[in-house]
Amino acid sequence: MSTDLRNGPLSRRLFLGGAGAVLGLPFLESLAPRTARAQAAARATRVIYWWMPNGFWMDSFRPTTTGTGYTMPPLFTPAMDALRADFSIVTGLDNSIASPDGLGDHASGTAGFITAAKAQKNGPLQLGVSADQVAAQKVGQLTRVPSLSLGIDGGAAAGGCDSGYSCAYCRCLSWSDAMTPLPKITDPLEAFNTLFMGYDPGASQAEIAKRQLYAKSILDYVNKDAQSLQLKLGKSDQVKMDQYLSGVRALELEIMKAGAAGAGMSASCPGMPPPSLSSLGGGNTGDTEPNEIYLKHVQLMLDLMVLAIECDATRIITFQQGNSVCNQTYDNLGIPGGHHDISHHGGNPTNIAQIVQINTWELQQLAYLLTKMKGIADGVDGSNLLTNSTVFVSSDVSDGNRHNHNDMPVILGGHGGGALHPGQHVRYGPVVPAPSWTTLPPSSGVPMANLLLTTIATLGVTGVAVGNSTGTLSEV
Amino acid sequence: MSKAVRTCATILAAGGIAALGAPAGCTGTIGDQVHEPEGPGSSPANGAGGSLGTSGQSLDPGTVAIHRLNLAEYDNTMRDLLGLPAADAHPSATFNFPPDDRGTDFDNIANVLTISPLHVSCYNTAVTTLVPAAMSNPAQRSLLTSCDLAAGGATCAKSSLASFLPRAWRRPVSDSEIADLMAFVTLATTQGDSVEVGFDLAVEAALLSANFIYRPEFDPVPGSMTPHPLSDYELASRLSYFLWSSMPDDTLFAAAKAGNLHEPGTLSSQVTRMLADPKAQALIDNFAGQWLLIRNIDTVTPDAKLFPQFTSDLRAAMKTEAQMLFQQVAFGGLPADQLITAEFAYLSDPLAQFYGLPPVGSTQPQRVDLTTNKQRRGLLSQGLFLTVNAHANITSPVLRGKFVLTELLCQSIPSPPKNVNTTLTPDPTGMHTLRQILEGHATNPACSGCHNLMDPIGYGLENYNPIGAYRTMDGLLPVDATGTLDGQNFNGELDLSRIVGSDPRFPPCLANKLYTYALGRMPDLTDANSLDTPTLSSLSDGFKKSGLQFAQLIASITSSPPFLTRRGVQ
Repeated sequence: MSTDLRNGPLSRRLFLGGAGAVLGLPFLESLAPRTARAQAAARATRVIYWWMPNGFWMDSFRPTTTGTGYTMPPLFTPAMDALRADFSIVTGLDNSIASPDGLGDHASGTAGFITAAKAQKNGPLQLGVSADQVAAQKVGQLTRVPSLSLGIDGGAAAGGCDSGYSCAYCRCLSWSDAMTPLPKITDPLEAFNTLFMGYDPGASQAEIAKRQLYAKSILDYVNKDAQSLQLKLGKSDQVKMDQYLSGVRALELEIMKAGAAGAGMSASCPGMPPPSLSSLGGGNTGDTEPNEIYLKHVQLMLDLMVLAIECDATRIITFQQGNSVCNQTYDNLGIPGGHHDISHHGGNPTNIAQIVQINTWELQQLAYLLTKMKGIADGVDGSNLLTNSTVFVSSDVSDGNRHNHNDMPVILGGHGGGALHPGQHVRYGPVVPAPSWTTLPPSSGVPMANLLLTTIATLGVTGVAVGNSTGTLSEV
Repeated sequence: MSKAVRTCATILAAGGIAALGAPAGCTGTIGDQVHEPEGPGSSPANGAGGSLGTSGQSLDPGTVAIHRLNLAEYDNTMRDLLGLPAADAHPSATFNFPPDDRGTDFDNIANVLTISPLHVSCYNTAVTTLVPAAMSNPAQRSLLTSCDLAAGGATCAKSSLASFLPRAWRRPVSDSEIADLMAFVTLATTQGDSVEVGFDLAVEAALLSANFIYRPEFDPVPGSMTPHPLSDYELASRLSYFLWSSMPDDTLFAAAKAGNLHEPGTLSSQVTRMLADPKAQALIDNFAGQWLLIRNIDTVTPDAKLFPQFTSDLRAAMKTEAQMLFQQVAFGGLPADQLITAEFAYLSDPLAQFYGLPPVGSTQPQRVDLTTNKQRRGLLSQGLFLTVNAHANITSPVLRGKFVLTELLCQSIPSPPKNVNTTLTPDPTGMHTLRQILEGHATNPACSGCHNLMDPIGYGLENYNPIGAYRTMDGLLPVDATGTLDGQNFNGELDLSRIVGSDPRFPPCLANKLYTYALGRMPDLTDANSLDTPTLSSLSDGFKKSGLQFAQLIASITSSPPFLTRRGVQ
């Protein structure tokens, strides 16, 4: 009887489930020499897609002038002042393909956030492949975790999500195919374990090889077993079961990489203790969480994102800051009520002031992330994580009151490994003089999908499409 | 333990039952040994009824997509299969499974239950942890193997799998399916490990298998739209996942094996037995938990500064009150309209005190008579209902009224149009009631169409604050709790509950909700060829004739053609 089984769950969990509890930093450090990693990483670019809920107060978001000499708009200053050369503001892109059937702009807008596709309201789920997954399907194999989907809120356990749209559209940014949403991880410790699992410092090479053999044998078995089951099913169920088979294949790859990690596949990492929200009463299972936990939660997720790309555990991350129709409270800003309720401002100056407060706070969080990335050297040529990354930030709608999907607010952080031209306001369509919320800006006709395509091009992924994309954007 | 006939070897042809040859939907191969979940026995031809239209043409019983076990189902199934100790009884929480998606009302709607790599990773972590733990716990181990693996070797492993696998996959399994899993025993011993290690791997593999993760139902001809009865094993799973959110037990497996589960007498006595089993409490957690939003009390966040009395004890007491009233309807023979009109409640001291009632003398809920009480009647006066249908700092006549219309009476209400301000700001001067502020909806043509339906229902509940405490004043002004439901005027909750409780739309609405939940799919009310509309109509007729007995509704649903039959998809 092998000791790993006799000793109960811990050792098996260690192998595949999560090394977080025992992962020693010195051990990680020893996995690969730092310089070797740095050289390898010099060529690596990363992409982060960050979804913020309920749109922005566009009159304070959209600069009134364009180009590099643009005047920093109110929402961005002072938090983003020092980062001026490291990000662009992009406005005027059209994501109207994400408009709903009838009502449900938040659901359809979230679903279309990086798919640039239309969500099917009734019946089976039907959307499109998200930009991060288009990229992950090409370059995900280069890292141990092909892509990482993070978020804050699990979602309420009962009740509708948005106007008849399935909750999947409201809670998932990443879709591996038109029918398969990839749920996000909301527990920081789970995310940590996902990134850094797979090592058992106590195991011998032979023991590791045997565990890997057993794990792989189980996956081979369930793969074959599922394929024979699939043959007995009708067409639509066969398609549905492809999701299971994809999951099995993904796990198999993870296990093979975990086995190879001891041989230097993984990079060395700086320290970060396994993160936990337990001191604040745990993570969230509902639709919003108490303000104090939320603030800590966002911070932990941002730290994890930086750690993930710094360690080159993954190069592709999505972060959903709440779920569609997010009604997060902001006690820290002294604001009563929830974000979504407030976002339906109807022109009320109190609401507008509160939206501006919330948006300002959100951009402070972005500034935190970008500043942290900028402070971490990456590679031997003087570049840093920010110069080697693309950070795409937008929302489900443009104006939270109007729910328009054109003139989308976008912040494009980072230099994309040199492929981007940060430090400017890029405007598609005519410049809109402020205040403009009462008048719907005309569509530029330039699809958001083209910017999404541009973001994955910074990863070296070309010859693909995202949603209704027609080509990349050279201006940004 | 052998038998050469498959249970799904017959299909129902129009106008009668015709036995066909081995259909593609069967497992194993003819002549192969078949191991049943409950010992040896012969397998029946299944004659569960299809339904014929008057023209002689089969009406459509609908089709349910292959159903992934949802979180509650996975947890309960693992609990029953592995005998999980109470501390580990919720693997989905322990191993951080992603939340299930809902279609509209329920999280067991098969066509939106998806699987992602994260799911597979979670399943894998769960089984690689829970199976070794079960093997090292004597009480659990006996559910997996009853012989001595060390002494009995491969023979013991094989016989253990032959009894475990049919339970795990909820159907007979073939010798070749067992042989496939026995390969793990060979693998382990080749690697110098024991038979026990190999058996453990085989069990892990069986529980990571699609045959466990999903509930497959087979069509003899997958592309054929011709309705056919479910096999008795498939029916056993439909029953157990509907009533227990879990796998069939030995008795139900035995009835499936005997081949008469689909016969009305057997079916009806099994349903009665199952409803009396404690596992039927799953209907409270999962059906009522979603229909009545009971689950949401766990995560609702009233403004802590305004409502310091909303403690975790009070939260729990509200949940218990709501669950116990539904329990009386579901299992205690209380007519279902009394969910709305009950003149009693289950209150513990904290909640009784919160309601301004004399203490019940216990921290455990006691039945309290409310016959002479003028403030509380049934669901609409419960702290839970009032709290989960309110905003953090103010009440919501809109949400409360909308719940009555959409969840109790099944009327559809569109969401607000774009470009309107849906925020309500309480008047800090106290000079306006929320009602007065809201009544602006009635004068704005963009809002009034829907709000004139919802708000005047919710106004009747303005005597309850955002956490359900009784009040007579809103700010500095007295509460006006007069309202209208479809032209009927009323004043206050007692009036409103009487009107809703006797609304003819309530029984069919409950029937519709439970039918949806039972089938795991949305009824098709638009296709004239669908059985759903006539079935629902007959369900609510029977429900009304029974005096709104929930057990009768369940009996009717479980004996309805859409529950007993299915078809393929072209």
